[in-house]
Amino acid sequence: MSVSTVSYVVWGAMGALALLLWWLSYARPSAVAHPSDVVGRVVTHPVGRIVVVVGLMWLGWHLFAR
Amino acid sequence: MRAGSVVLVAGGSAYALIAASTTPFTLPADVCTGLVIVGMAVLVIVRWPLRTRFARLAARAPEAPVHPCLPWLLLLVVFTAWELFNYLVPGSRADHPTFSSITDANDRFYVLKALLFLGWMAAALLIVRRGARR
Repeated sequence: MSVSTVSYVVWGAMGALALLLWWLSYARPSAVAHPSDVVGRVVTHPVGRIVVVVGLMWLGWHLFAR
Repeated sequence: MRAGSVVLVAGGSAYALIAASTTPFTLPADVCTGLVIVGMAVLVIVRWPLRTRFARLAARAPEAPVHPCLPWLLLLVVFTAWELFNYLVPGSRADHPTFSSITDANDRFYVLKALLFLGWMAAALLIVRRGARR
């Protein structure tokens, strides 16, 4: 197995894990918070909301403009 | 689906299709991306309260061993660690792809790039709404 294959497998596993957590947030909401609730919690934190907004702005600029 | 939501989805999709047709490192790409960033900044300034009250989650069930946000936090930690490892480790980007290089490959396909742009705008809208005064 090549190095790049291992890298892509790990990325894929993280994507699958995110989907699993998303499903669990509906199936077992007391164990796994729904993504929008996590976002809601972070963006009501005085520092967290600034980090999230600036981070998302940077991400868009990085992915689509530069 | 309400009329407002239909207009929002249709407008967002049309804008994402336009933005996806631009090429990075060009003025049109800067303008299309920059307009969304400016719009997000304006919405945050207008809709978000100056001071916040930390949102509480629903009460944790007695059988839940960990905080319900913890799985997402762990995933974020693993994602960040893997991204940093791939970025810093010696070797080619082909051998050690970062999240950016994977999305660069994705951007070669017009529809996938438009979906990614739409997802980015949707995330921005979600963040603005969740942080807005209720």
